[in-house]
Amino acid sequence: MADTSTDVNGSHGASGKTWAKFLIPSTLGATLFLLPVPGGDTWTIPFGLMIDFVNNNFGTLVKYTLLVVTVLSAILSVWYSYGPAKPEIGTLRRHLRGDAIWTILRVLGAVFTAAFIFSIGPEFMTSDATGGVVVATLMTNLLALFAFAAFGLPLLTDYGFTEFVGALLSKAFRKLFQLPGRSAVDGLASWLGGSALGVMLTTQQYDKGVYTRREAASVACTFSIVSLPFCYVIAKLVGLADVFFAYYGSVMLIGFVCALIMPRIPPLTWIPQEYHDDTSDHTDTTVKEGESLVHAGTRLALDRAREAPNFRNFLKAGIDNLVFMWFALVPATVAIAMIAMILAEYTPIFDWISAPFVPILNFAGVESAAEAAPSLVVGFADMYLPALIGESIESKETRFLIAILSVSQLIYMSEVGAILLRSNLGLNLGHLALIFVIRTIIATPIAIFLARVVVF
Amino acid sequence: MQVNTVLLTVDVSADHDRTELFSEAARLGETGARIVVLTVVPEMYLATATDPTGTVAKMEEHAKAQLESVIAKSQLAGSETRVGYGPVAGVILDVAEEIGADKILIHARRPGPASYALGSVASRVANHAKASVLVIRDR
Repeated sequence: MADTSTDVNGSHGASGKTWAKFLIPSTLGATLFLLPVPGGDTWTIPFGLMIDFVNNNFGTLVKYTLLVVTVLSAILSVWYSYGPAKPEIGTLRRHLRGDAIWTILRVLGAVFTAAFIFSIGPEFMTSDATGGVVVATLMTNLLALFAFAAFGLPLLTDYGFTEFVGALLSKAFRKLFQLPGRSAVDGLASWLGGSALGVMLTTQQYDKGVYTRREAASVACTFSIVSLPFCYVIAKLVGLADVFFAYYGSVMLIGFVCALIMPRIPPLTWIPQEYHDDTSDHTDTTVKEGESLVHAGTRLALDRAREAPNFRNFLKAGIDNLVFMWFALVPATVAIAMIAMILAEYTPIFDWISAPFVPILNFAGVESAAEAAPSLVVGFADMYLPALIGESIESKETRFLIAILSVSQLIYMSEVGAILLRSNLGLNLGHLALIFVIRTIIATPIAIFLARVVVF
Repeated sequence: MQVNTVLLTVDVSADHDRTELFSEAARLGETGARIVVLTVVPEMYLATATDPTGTVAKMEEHAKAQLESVIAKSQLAGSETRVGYGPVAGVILDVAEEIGADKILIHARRPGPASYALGSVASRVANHAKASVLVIRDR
Protein backbone atom coordinates (compact mmCIF):
# COMPACT_ATOMS: atom_id res chain seq x y z
CA MET A 1 0.00 0.00 0.00
CA ALA A 2 1.27 3.50 -0.78
CA ASP A 3 2.64 5.59 2.08
CA THR A 4 0.03 8.25 2.64
CA SER A 5 1.99 10.56 4.93
CA THR A 6 1.93 13.76 2.92
CA ASP A 7 5.34 15.26 2.30
CA VAL A 8 5.30 17.64 -0.59
CA ASN A 9 7.94 20.04 0.60
CA GLY A 10 10.74 17.81 1.76
CA SER A 11 11.74 14.67 3.56
CA HIS A 12 10.16 15.73 6.87
CA GLY A 13 7.21 13.54 7.61
CA ALA A 14 8.26 10.72 5.27
CA SER A 15 7.69 7.43 7.00
CA GLY A 16 10.35 4.85 7.70
CA LYS A 17 8.68 2.70 5.07
CA THR A 18 9.20 5.37 2.41
CA TRP A 19 12.83 5.82 3.42
CA ALA A 20 13.30 2.05 3.23
CA LYS A 21 11.61 1.98 -0.18
CA PHE A 22 14.12 4.57 -1.38
CA LEU A 23 17.28 3.35 0.34
CA ILE A 24 17.11 -0.45 0.06
CA PRO A 25 16.39 -0.82 -3.69
CA SER A 26 18.66 2.14 -4.57
CA THR A 27 21.59 0.72 -2.59
CA LEU A 28 21.04 -2.71 -4.08
CA GLY A 29 20.81 -1.26 -7.61
CA ALA A 30 23.89 0.93 -7.17
CA THR A 31 25.81 -2.09 -5.89
CA LEU A 32 24.73 -4.24 -8.83
CA PHE A 33 25.45 -1.74 -11.58
CA LEU A 34 27.94 0.81 -10.32
CA LEU A 35 30.19 -0.83 -7.72
CA PRO A 36 33.63 -1.77 -9.06
CA VAL A 37 34.50 -5.33 -8.07
CA PRO A 38 37.48 -7.48 -9.03
CA GLY A 39 36.72 -9.87 -11.89
CA GLY A 40 39.65 -12.04 -13.03
CA ASP A 41 42.65 -9.81 -13.72
CA THR A 42 40.62 -6.65 -13.88
CA TRP A 43 37.74 -4.65 -12.39
CA THR A 44 34.16 -5.04 -13.44
CA ILE A 45 30.64 -4.58 -12.03
CA PRO A 46 28.58 -7.28 -10.28
CA PHE A 47 26.09 -7.13 -13.15
CA GLY A 48 28.90 -8.08 -15.58
CA LEU A 49 29.98 -10.94 -13.32
CA MET A 50 26.41 -12.25 -13.29
CA ILE A 51 26.16 -12.22 -17.10
CA ASP A 52 29.54 -13.93 -17.39
CA PHE A 53 28.60 -16.52 -14.75
CA VAL A 54 25.43 -17.47 -16.59
CA ASN A 55 27.12 -17.65 -19.98
CA ASN A 56 30.17 -19.54 -18.69
CA ASN A 57 28.22 -22.11 -16.67
CA PHE A 58 24.91 -22.39 -18.46
CA GLY A 59 25.97 -21.62 -22.04
CA THR A 60 24.10 -24.57 -23.56
CA LEU A 61 20.96 -23.78 -21.59
CA VAL A 62 21.09 -20.12 -22.71
CA LYS A 63 21.60 -21.22 -26.33
CA TYR A 64 18.57 -23.50 -26.28
CA THR A 65 16.52 -20.92 -24.37
CA LEU A 66 17.27 -18.53 -27.24
CA LEU A 67 16.08 -21.17 -29.69
CA VAL A 68 12.84 -21.74 -27.77
CA VAL A 69 12.24 -17.99 -27.40
CA THR A 70 12.78 -17.21 -31.08
CA VAL A 71 10.72 -20.16 -32.37
CA LEU A 72 7.85 -19.50 -29.94
CA SER A 73 7.95 -15.81 -30.80
CA ALA A 74 7.72 -16.58 -34.53
CA ILE A 75 4.81 -18.98 -34.09
CA LEU A 76 2.90 -16.68 -31.74
CA SER A 77 3.55 -13.60 -33.87
CA VAL A 78 2.06 -15.34 -36.91
CA TRP A 79 -0.85 -16.62 -34.78
CA TYR A 80 -1.66 -13.32 -33.09
CA SER A 81 -1.22 -11.26 -36.25
CA TYR A 82 -2.85 -13.52 -38.81
CA GLY A 83 -4.47 -16.41 -36.91
CA PRO A 84 -8.10 -17.19 -37.69
CA ALA A 85 -9.28 -16.98 -34.07
CA LYS A 86 -7.69 -14.13 -32.18
CA PRO A 87 -7.76 -14.57 -28.40
CA GLU A 88 -8.57 -11.73 -26.02
CA ILE A 89 -5.93 -9.00 -25.72
CA GLY A 90 -3.31 -10.22 -23.26
CA THR A 91 0.34 -9.53 -22.55
CA LEU A 92 1.60 -11.79 -25.33
CA ARG A 93 -0.88 -10.53 -27.89
CA ARG A 94 -0.06 -6.92 -27.06
CA HIS A 95 3.66 -7.59 -27.37
CA LEU A 96 3.60 -9.89 -30.37
CA ARG A 97 0.86 -8.74 -32.69
CA GLY A 98 2.48 -6.60 -35.33
CA ASP A 99 2.63 -5.43 -38.89
CA ALA A 100 4.00 -7.79 -41.52
CA ILE A 101 7.55 -6.46 -41.15
CA TRP A 102 7.62 -7.44 -37.45
CA THR A 103 6.28 -10.92 -38.14
CA ILE A 104 8.79 -11.44 -40.95
CA LEU A 105 11.67 -10.30 -38.70
CA ARG A 106 10.62 -12.66 -35.90
CA VAL A 107 10.26 -15.61 -38.27
CA LEU A 108 13.67 -14.81 -39.75
CA GLY A 109 15.08 -14.58 -36.21
CA ALA A 110 13.87 -18.11 -35.49
CA VAL A 111 15.20 -19.44 -38.82
CA PHE A 112 18.64 -17.85 -38.30
CA THR A 113 18.88 -19.10 -34.71
CA ALA A 114 17.84 -22.68 -35.57
CA ALA A 115 20.10 -22.74 -38.64
CA PHE A 116 23.15 -21.76 -36.59
CA ILE A 117 22.45 -23.96 -33.57
CA PHE A 118 21.77 -27.09 -35.65
CA SER A 119 24.30 -26.16 -38.40
CA ILE A 120 21.63 -26.63 -41.05
CA GLY A 121 21.35 -24.39 -44.08
CA PRO A 122 23.61 -22.26 -46.22
CA GLU A 123 27.01 -21.23 -44.97
CA PHE A 124 26.03 -17.55 -44.74
CA MET A 125 23.68 -18.50 -41.88
CA THR A 126 25.82 -21.06 -40.10
CA SER A 127 29.32 -19.58 -40.27
CA ASP A 128 31.08 -18.28 -37.17
CA ALA A 129 31.46 -14.88 -38.84
CA THR A 130 27.68 -14.41 -39.03
CA GLY A 131 25.68 -16.79 -36.80
CA GLY A 132 28.66 -17.23 -34.49
CA VAL A 133 28.89 -13.52 -33.75
CA VAL A 134 25.16 -12.82 -33.62
CA VAL A 135 23.67 -15.96 -32.07
CA ALA A 136 26.54 -17.36 -30.02
CA THR A 137 27.99 -14.07 -28.75
CA LEU A 138 25.64 -11.09 -28.99
CA MET A 139 22.31 -12.78 -28.35
CA THR A 140 23.37 -15.09 -25.54
CA ASN A 141 24.78 -12.06 -23.75
CA LEU A 142 21.66 -10.04 -24.46
CA LEU A 143 19.39 -12.83 -23.25
CA ALA A 144 21.15 -12.84 -19.88
CA LEU A 145 21.37 -9.03 -19.83
CA PHE A 146 17.62 -8.67 -20.36
CA ALA A 147 16.87 -11.19 -17.64
CA PHE A 148 18.97 -9.36 -15.04
CA ALA A 149 18.25 -5.84 -16.29
CA ALA A 150 14.46 -6.36 -16.28
CA PHE A 151 14.62 -6.86 -12.53
CA GLY A 152 17.84 -5.00 -11.66
CA LEU A 153 17.57 -1.63 -13.40
CA PRO A 154 14.17 -0.67 -11.96
CA LEU A 155 15.96 -0.64 -8.60
CA LEU A 156 17.87 2.39 -9.88
CA THR A 157 15.17 4.00 -11.99
CA ASP A 158 11.93 3.47 -10.04
CA TYR A 159 12.81 3.96 -6.36
CA GLY A 160 14.35 7.44 -6.26
CA PHE A 161 18.05 6.90 -7.07
CA THR A 162 17.80 8.69 -10.44
CA GLU A 163 15.97 11.66 -8.90
CA PHE A 164 18.42 11.89 -5.99
CA VAL A 165 21.59 11.86 -8.09
CA GLY A 166 19.93 13.94 -10.83
CA ALA A 167 19.09 16.69 -8.36
CA LEU A 168 22.69 16.69 -7.08
CA LEU A 169 23.90 17.20 -10.66
CA SER A 170 21.22 19.68 -11.67
CA LYS A 171 23.21 22.82 -10.87
CA ALA A 172 26.20 21.56 -12.84
CA PHE A 173 23.98 20.74 -15.80
CA ARG A 174 22.46 24.21 -15.71
CA LYS A 175 25.82 25.94 -15.60
CA LEU A 176 27.78 23.73 -17.96
CA PHE A 177 25.18 22.91 -20.56
CA GLN A 178 22.83 25.91 -20.20
CA LEU A 179 19.92 23.53 -19.72
CA PRO A 180 17.24 23.37 -17.03
CA GLY A 181 18.32 21.40 -13.95
CA ARG A 182 15.67 18.80 -14.74
CA SER A 183 17.87 17.65 -17.66
CA ALA A 184 20.19 15.97 -15.15
CA VAL A 185 17.37 13.67 -14.05
CA ASP A 186 16.40 12.88 -17.65
CA GLY A 187 20.03 12.32 -18.63
CA LEU A 188 20.51 9.91 -15.75
CA ALA A 189 17.31 8.10 -16.69
CA SER A 190 18.90 7.46 -20.10
CA TRP A 191 22.22 6.30 -18.72
CA LEU A 192 20.52 3.95 -16.31
CA GLY A 193 17.22 3.08 -17.92
CA GLY A 194 17.82 3.37 -21.64
CA SER A 195 17.87 5.97 -24.35
CA ALA A 196 14.25 5.45 -25.47
CA LEU A 197 13.02 6.11 -21.94
CA GLY A 198 15.24 9.20 -21.70
CA VAL A 199 13.83 10.63 -24.93
CA MET A 200 10.26 10.04 -23.79
CA LEU A 201 10.83 11.61 -20.36
CA THR A 202 12.38 14.62 -22.08
CA THR A 203 9.49 14.89 -24.53
CA GLN A 204 7.04 14.81 -21.63
CA GLN A 205 8.90 17.68 -19.96
CA TYR A 206 8.39 19.65 -23.19
CA ASP A 207 4.69 18.71 -23.18
CA LYS A 208 4.46 20.02 -19.61
CA GLY A 209 6.24 23.27 -20.49
CA VAL A 210 9.41 22.70 -18.43
CA TYR A 211 11.69 22.67 -21.49
CA THR A 212 11.53 24.79 -24.60
CA ARG A 213 11.49 22.90 -27.88
CA ARG A 214 15.23 23.57 -28.34
CA GLU A 215 16.07 22.56 -24.78
CA ALA A 216 14.13 19.31 -25.14
CA ALA A 217 15.80 18.54 -28.48
CA SER A 218 19.20 19.34 -26.92
CA VAL A 219 18.62 17.07 -23.93
CA ALA A 220 17.28 14.25 -26.12
CA CYS A 221 20.13 14.50 -28.65
CA THR A 222 22.85 14.95 -26.05
CA PHE A 223 22.16 12.73 -23.07
CA SER A 224 20.09 9.87 -24.48
CA ILE A 225 22.86 7.32 -24.68
CA VAL A 226 22.19 3.62 -24.27
CA SER A 227 22.12 2.36 -20.72
CA LEU A 228 25.15 1.16 -18.82
CA PRO A 229 24.42 -2.61 -19.16
CA PHE A 230 24.36 -2.30 -22.96
CA CYS A 231 27.72 -0.56 -22.84
CA TYR A 232 29.00 -3.62 -20.98
CA VAL A 233 27.66 -5.93 -23.70
CA ILE A 234 29.25 -3.77 -26.44
CA ALA A 235 32.58 -3.87 -24.57
CA LYS A 236 32.27 -7.63 -24.22
CA LEU A 237 31.33 -8.08 -27.88
CA VAL A 238 34.52 -6.38 -29.07
CA GLY A 239 36.64 -8.20 -26.47
CA LEU A 240 37.24 -5.19 -24.21
CA ALA A 241 35.37 -6.22 -21.06
CA ASP A 242 38.74 -6.17 -19.29
CA VAL A 243 38.95 -2.39 -19.78
CA PHE A 244 35.28 -1.72 -19.15
CA PHE A 245 35.80 1.12 -16.70
CA ALA A 246 38.27 2.87 -19.00
CA TYR A 247 35.83 2.33 -21.86
CA TYR A 248 32.82 3.64 -19.95
CA GLY A 249 34.85 6.55 -18.58
CA SER A 250 35.82 7.43 -22.16
CA VAL A 251 32.17 7.26 -23.25
CA MET A 252 31.27 9.62 -20.39
CA LEU A 253 34.09 12.03 -21.23
CA ILE A 254 33.13 12.15 -24.91
CA GLY A 255 29.48 12.55 -23.93
CA PHE A 256 30.51 15.48 -21.73
CA VAL A 257 32.45 17.17 -24.55
CA CYS A 258 29.57 16.62 -26.98
CA ALA A 259 27.14 18.04 -24.41
CA LEU A 260 29.26 21.19 -24.13
CA ILE A 261 29.38 21.69 -27.90
CA MET A 262 26.16 20.31 -29.41
CA PRO A 263 23.55 22.63 -27.82
CA ARG A 264 25.62 25.65 -28.93
CA ILE A 265 25.82 24.83 -32.65
CA PRO A 266 23.43 23.92 -35.49
CA PRO A 267 21.31 21.97 -36.02
CA LEU A 268 20.14 22.26 -32.40
CA THR A 269 20.37 26.07 -32.48
CA TRP A 270 18.04 26.01 -35.48
CA ILE A 271 15.25 24.61 -33.31
CA PRO A 272 13.03 27.44 -32.04
CA GLN A 273 13.42 28.43 -28.39
CA GLU A 274 9.69 28.21 -27.70
CA TYR A 275 7.49 26.47 -25.15
CA HIS A 276 4.63 24.13 -25.98
CA ASP A 277 1.59 26.16 -27.04
CA ASP A 278 -0.70 24.77 -24.35
CA THR A 279 1.58 25.54 -21.40
CA SER A 280 1.98 28.66 -19.29
CA ASP A 281 3.91 27.51 -16.19
CA HIS A 282 7.55 26.98 -17.16
CA THR A 283 8.95 26.54 -13.66
CA ASP A 284 11.55 23.85 -13.23
CA THR A 285 10.78 22.50 -9.76
CA THR A 286 13.74 20.11 -9.63
CA VAL A 287 15.45 22.39 -7.10
CA LYS A 288 13.18 24.97 -5.49
CA GLU A 289 14.24 28.49 -4.56
CA GLY A 290 16.49 28.44 -1.48
CA GLU A 291 16.60 24.65 -1.35
CA SER A 292 19.91 22.75 -1.06
CA LEU A 293 20.73 20.12 -3.70
CA VAL A 294 20.72 17.31 -1.11
CA HIS A 295 17.36 18.43 0.23
CA ALA A 296 15.92 18.64 -3.28
CA GLY A 297 17.34 15.22 -4.16
CA THR A 298 15.90 13.67 -1.00
CA ARG A 299 12.51 15.29 -1.61
CA LEU A 300 12.36 14.05 -5.20
CA ALA A 301 13.67 10.60 -4.30
CA LEU A 302 11.15 10.14 -1.48
CA ASP A 303 8.34 11.39 -3.71
CA ARG A 304 9.34 8.79 -6.28
CA ALA A 305 9.78 6.02 -3.69
CA ARG A 306 6.34 6.79 -2.26
CA GLU A 307 4.77 6.08 -5.67
CA ALA A 308 7.10 3.18 -6.51
CA PRO A 309 5.69 -0.32 -6.98
CA ASN A 310 5.58 -2.72 -4.06
CA PHE A 311 7.47 -6.02 -4.28
CA ARG A 312 4.61 -7.85 -5.97
CA ASN A 313 4.14 -5.17 -8.63
CA PHE A 314 7.91 -4.90 -9.03
CA LEU A 315 8.03 -8.61 -9.93
CA LYS A 316 4.97 -8.28 -12.17
CA ALA A 317 6.50 -5.33 -14.08
CA GLY A 318 9.83 -7.18 -14.34
CA ILE A 319 8.16 -10.25 -15.85
CA ASP A 320 6.14 -8.10 -18.27
CA ASN A 321 9.30 -6.34 -19.40
CA LEU A 322 11.17 -9.62 -19.70
CA VAL A 323 8.43 -11.13 -21.88
CA PHE A 324 8.50 -8.00 -24.06
CA MET A 325 12.29 -8.04 -24.39
CA TRP A 326 12.70 -11.78 -24.93
CA PHE A 327 9.74 -12.51 -27.18
CA ALA A 328 9.19 -9.22 -29.03
CA LEU A 329 12.68 -7.74 -29.30
CA VAL A 330 15.24 -10.56 -29.18
CA PRO A 331 14.06 -12.39 -32.34
CA ALA A 332 13.87 -9.14 -34.30
CA THR A 333 17.36 -8.22 -33.10
CA VAL A 334 18.69 -11.62 -34.28
CA ALA A 335 17.19 -11.00 -37.72
CA ILE A 336 18.44 -7.41 -38.09
CA ALA A 337 21.92 -8.25 -36.82
CA MET A 338 22.17 -11.35 -39.03
CA ILE A 339 21.07 -9.47 -42.14
CA ALA A 340 23.69 -6.80 -41.40
CA MET A 341 26.40 -9.41 -40.81
CA ILE A 342 25.51 -11.30 -43.99
CA LEU A 343 25.69 -8.03 -45.95
CA ALA A 344 29.01 -7.18 -44.30
CA GLU A 345 30.58 -10.60 -44.86
CA TYR A 346 29.21 -11.57 -48.24
CA THR A 347 28.65 -8.30 -50.11
CA PRO A 348 30.75 -5.16 -50.66
CA ILE A 349 27.82 -2.82 -49.78
CA PHE A 350 29.25 -1.51 -46.50
CA ASP A 351 32.69 -1.11 -48.11
CA TRP A 352 31.18 1.06 -50.83
CA ILE A 353 29.20 3.16 -48.37
CA SER A 354 32.18 3.75 -46.12
CA ALA A 355 34.85 4.22 -48.83
CA PRO A 356 35.08 8.02 -48.33
CA PHE A 357 36.00 7.52 -44.67
CA VAL A 358 38.95 5.19 -45.27
CA PRO A 359 41.43 7.99 -46.18
CA ILE A 360 40.28 10.02 -43.15
CA LEU A 361 40.89 7.11 -40.80
CA ASN A 362 44.20 6.37 -42.49
CA PHE A 363 45.17 10.01 -42.03
CA ALA A 364 44.26 9.73 -38.33
CA GLY A 365 46.54 6.72 -38.08
CA VAL A 366 43.78 4.22 -37.28
CA GLU A 367 44.95 0.66 -37.81
CA SER A 368 42.82 -1.51 -40.14
CA ALA A 369 41.16 1.66 -41.45
CA ALA A 370 39.39 -0.10 -44.33
CA GLU A 371 37.84 -2.63 -41.93
CA ALA A 372 36.92 0.03 -39.39
CA ALA A 373 35.35 2.50 -41.83
CA PRO A 374 32.00 0.66 -42.22
CA SER A 375 31.55 0.80 -38.45
CA LEU A 376 31.58 4.59 -38.59
CA VAL A 377 28.63 4.64 -40.95
CA VAL A 378 26.38 1.73 -39.99
CA GLY A 379 25.86 3.05 -36.48
CA PHE A 380 23.28 5.43 -37.94
CA ALA A 381 21.09 2.41 -38.70
CA ASP A 382 21.49 0.49 -35.44
CA MET A 383 23.58 0.71 -32.30
CA TYR A 384 24.79 -2.91 -32.35
CA LEU A 385 26.05 -2.90 -35.94
CA PRO A 386 29.42 -1.10 -35.52
CA ALA A 387 30.52 -3.50 -32.77
CA LEU A 388 29.22 -6.54 -34.66
CA ILE A 389 31.06 -5.60 -37.83
CA GLY A 390 34.22 -4.52 -36.03
CA GLU A 391 34.50 -7.28 -33.43
CA SER A 392 36.98 -9.33 -35.51
CA ILE A 393 39.42 -6.46 -36.17
CA GLU A 394 42.79 -7.38 -34.72
CA SER A 395 43.83 -3.97 -33.39
CA LYS A 396 42.60 -3.39 -29.84
CA GLU A 397 42.78 0.38 -30.34
CA THR A 398 40.54 0.21 -33.39
CA ARG A 399 38.02 -2.01 -31.59
CA PHE A 400 38.07 0.48 -28.70
CA LEU A 401 37.33 3.29 -31.15
CA ILE A 402 34.45 1.32 -32.69
CA ALA A 403 32.96 0.41 -29.30
CA ILE A 404 33.06 4.04 -28.24
CA LEU A 405 31.56 5.32 -31.47
CA SER A 406 28.70 2.80 -31.41
CA VAL A 407 27.54 4.38 -28.14
CA SER A 408 28.73 7.98 -28.55
CA GLN A 409 27.21 8.56 -31.98
CA LEU A 410 23.93 8.37 -30.05
CA ILE A 411 21.52 8.69 -32.97
CA TYR A 412 20.48 5.39 -34.53
CA MET A 413 17.37 5.22 -36.58
CA SER A 414 16.19 1.79 -35.45
CA GLU A 415 15.28 3.16 -32.02
CA VAL A 416 16.21 6.65 -30.77
CA GLY A 417 15.98 8.27 -34.21
CA ALA A 418 12.53 6.81 -34.87
CA ILE A 419 11.27 7.99 -31.48
CA LEU A 420 12.73 11.46 -31.97
CA LEU A 421 11.02 11.76 -35.35
CA ARG A 422 7.69 10.77 -33.79
CA SER A 423 8.02 13.29 -30.98
CA ASN A 424 7.08 16.86 -31.78
CA LEU A 425 10.46 18.40 -30.96
CA GLY A 426 11.00 19.78 -34.46
CA LEU A 427 13.80 17.39 -35.43
CA ASN A 428 13.79 15.91 -38.92
CA LEU A 429 15.90 13.22 -40.57
CA GLY A 430 18.40 15.81 -41.86
CA HIS A 431 18.91 17.20 -38.35
CA LEU A 432 19.47 13.71 -36.97
CA ALA A 433 21.96 12.80 -39.71
CA LEU A 434 23.86 16.03 -39.05
CA ILE A 435 23.93 15.39 -35.29
CA PHE A 436 25.22 11.87 -35.97
CA VAL A 437 28.02 13.20 -38.20
CA ILE A 438 29.01 15.99 -35.79
CA ARG A 439 29.11 13.61 -32.83
CA THR A 440 31.27 11.22 -34.89
CA ILE A 441 33.64 14.06 -35.78
CA ILE A 442 33.92 15.09 -32.11
CA ALA A 443 34.21 11.57 -30.72
CA THR A 444 36.70 10.03 -33.15
CA PRO A 445 39.87 12.06 -32.32
CA ILE A 446 39.15 11.93 -28.57
CA ALA A 447 38.65 8.17 -28.70
CA ILE A 448 41.86 7.69 -30.72
CA PHE A 449 43.78 9.87 -28.24
CA LEU A 450 42.35 8.05 -25.21
CA ALA A 451 43.04 4.64 -26.76
CA ARG A 452 46.68 5.49 -27.46
CA VAL A 453 47.62 7.61 -24.50
CA VAL A 454 45.42 6.53 -21.63
CA VAL A 455 43.99 3.04 -22.07
CA PHE A 456 46.50 0.82 -23.93
CA MET B 1 -28.89 6.06 -42.99
CA GLN B 2 -28.32 7.44 -39.50
CA VAL B 3 -24.69 7.15 -38.37
CA ASN B 4 -24.57 6.44 -34.64
CA THR B 5 -20.88 6.05 -33.85
CA VAL B 6 -17.95 7.52 -35.75
CA LEU B 7 -14.32 6.53 -35.28
CA LEU B 8 -12.12 9.47 -36.25
CA THR B 9 -8.47 8.41 -36.63
CA VAL B 10 -5.72 10.99 -36.24
CA ASP B 11 -1.98 10.59 -36.80
CA VAL B 12 -0.60 13.06 -34.27
CA SER B 13 3.03 12.51 -35.32
CA ALA B 14 2.45 14.04 -38.76
CA ASP B 15 1.70 17.66 -39.46
CA HIS B 16 -0.97 18.00 -42.10
CA ASP B 17 -4.18 19.83 -42.87
CA ARG B 18 -6.96 18.13 -40.91
CA THR B 19 -9.65 20.67 -41.80
CA GLU B 20 -11.68 18.37 -44.07
CA LEU B 21 -11.28 15.38 -41.74
CA PHE B 22 -12.51 17.32 -38.71
CA SER B 23 -15.26 19.12 -40.63
CA GLU B 24 -16.69 15.79 -41.75
CA ALA B 25 -16.55 14.47 -38.15
CA ALA B 26 -18.18 17.65 -36.84
CA ARG B 27 -20.92 17.37 -39.46
CA LEU B 28 -21.67 13.81 -38.36
CA GLY B 29 -21.53 14.92 -34.72
CA GLU B 30 -24.19 17.53 -35.40
CA THR B 31 -26.51 14.75 -36.57
CA GLY B 32 -26.22 13.16 -33.12
CA ALA B 33 -23.44 10.66 -33.78
CA ARG B 34 -20.99 9.77 -31.01
CA ILE B 35 -17.47 10.80 -32.07
CA VAL B 36 -14.52 8.76 -30.78
CA VAL B 37 -11.10 10.12 -31.73
CA LEU B 38 -8.28 7.58 -31.90
CA THR B 39 -4.54 7.83 -32.37
CA VAL B 40 -2.23 4.82 -32.51
CA VAL B 41 1.40 4.55 -31.42
CA PRO B 42 2.94 2.07 -33.87
CA GLU B 43 5.15 -0.73 -32.59
CA MET B 44 8.66 0.52 -31.90
CA TYR B 45 11.89 -1.47 -32.02
CA LEU B 46 13.04 -0.72 -28.47
CA ALA B 47 16.20 -2.77 -28.82
CA THR B 48 18.08 -1.19 -25.92
CA ALA B 49 15.22 -0.35 -23.61
CA THR B 50 15.30 -2.24 -20.35
CA ASP B 51 11.84 -0.94 -19.50
CA PRO B 52 10.06 -1.29 -22.84
CA THR B 53 6.59 -1.48 -21.30
CA GLY B 54 7.26 1.71 -19.32
CA THR B 55 8.62 3.39 -22.46
CA VAL B 56 5.53 2.40 -24.45
CA ALA B 57 3.33 3.74 -21.63
CA LYS B 58 5.18 7.06 -21.85
CA MET B 59 4.72 7.11 -25.64
CA GLU B 60 1.00 6.55 -25.16
CA GLU B 61 0.84 9.39 -22.59
CA HIS B 62 2.66 11.67 -25.03
CA ALA B 63 0.36 10.68 -27.90
CA LYS B 64 -2.68 11.33 -25.69
CA ALA B 65 -1.37 14.79 -24.77
CA GLN B 66 -0.77 15.56 -28.46
CA LEU B 67 -4.19 14.25 -29.46
CA GLU B 68 -5.97 16.27 -26.80
CA SER B 69 -4.06 19.37 -27.83
CA VAL B 70 -5.08 18.88 -31.48
CA ILE B 71 -8.72 18.19 -30.60
CA ALA B 72 -8.97 21.08 -28.13
CA LYS B 73 -8.08 23.50 -30.92
CA SER B 74 -10.72 22.09 -33.27
CA GLN B 75 -14.50 22.14 -33.48
CA LEU B 76 -14.41 18.64 -31.92
CA ALA B 77 -13.26 19.88 -28.47
CA GLY B 78 -14.71 17.69 -25.74
CA SER B 79 -14.91 14.55 -27.89
CA GLU B 80 -13.98 11.17 -26.44
CA THR B 81 -10.33 10.29 -27.12
CA ARG B 82 -8.48 6.98 -27.18
CA VAL B 83 -4.86 5.93 -27.66
CA GLY B 84 -3.81 2.51 -28.93
CA TYR B 85 -0.49 0.74 -29.39
CA GLY B 86 0.41 -1.83 -32.03
CA PRO B 87 -0.06 -2.35 -35.76
CA VAL B 88 -1.90 0.82 -36.74
CA ALA B 89 -4.50 -0.67 -39.11
CA GLY B 90 -5.12 -3.62 -36.77
CA VAL B 91 -5.70 -1.39 -33.75
CA ILE B 92 -8.07 0.89 -35.72
CA LEU B 93 -10.10 -2.15 -36.80
CA ASP B 94 -10.18 -3.51 -33.23
CA VAL B 95 -11.32 -0.21 -31.72
CA ALA B 96 -13.92 0.25 -34.47
CA GLU B 97 -15.42 -3.13 -33.58
CA GLU B 98 -15.16 -2.52 -29.86
CA ILE B 99 -17.11 0.76 -29.99
CA GLY B 100 -19.49 -0.47 -32.67
CA ALA B 101 -18.45 2.22 -35.13
CA ASP B 102 -20.58 2.44 -38.23
CA LYS B 103 -18.28 4.92 -39.91
CA ILE B 104 -14.48 5.31 -39.84
CA LEU B 105 -12.87 8.58 -40.93
CA ILE B 106 -9.24 8.32 -41.89
CA HIS B 107 -6.68 10.61 -43.50
CA ALA B 108 -4.37 9.33 -46.25
CA ARG B 109 -1.33 10.92 -47.80
CA ARG B 110 -0.98 11.04 -51.56
CA PRO B 111 0.08 7.56 -52.69
CA GLY B 112 3.81 7.21 -53.30
CA PRO B 113 5.99 4.28 -54.45
CA ALA B 114 6.01 2.80 -50.93
CA SER B 115 2.23 2.62 -50.71
CA TYR B 116 2.07 0.89 -54.10
CA ALA B 117 4.45 -1.77 -52.81
CA LEU B 118 3.27 -2.11 -49.22
CA GLY B 119 -0.21 -0.61 -49.20
CA SER B 120 -1.18 2.06 -46.71
CA VAL B 121 -2.92 2.07 -43.36
CA ALA B 122 -5.99 3.62 -45.00
CA SER B 123 -6.17 0.93 -47.68
CA ARG B 124 -5.86 -1.85 -45.09
CA VAL B 125 -8.58 -0.29 -42.96
CA ALA B 126 -10.82 0.22 -46.00
CA ASN B 127 -10.27 -3.38 -47.10
CA HIS B 128 -10.98 -5.05 -43.77
CA ALA B 129 -13.35 -2.81 -41.81
CA LYS B 130 -16.93 -3.90 -41.21
CA ALA B 131 -17.93 -0.22 -41.00
CA SER B 132 -18.01 2.21 -43.91
CA VAL B 133 -14.71 4.02 -44.35
CA LEU B 134 -14.27 7.56 -45.61
CA VAL B 135 -10.70 8.24 -46.75
CA ILE B 136 -9.77 11.93 -46.86
CA ARG B 137 -6.83 12.62 -49.16
CA ASP B 138 -4.18 15.30 -48.82
CA ARG B 139 -4.97 18.10 -51.24
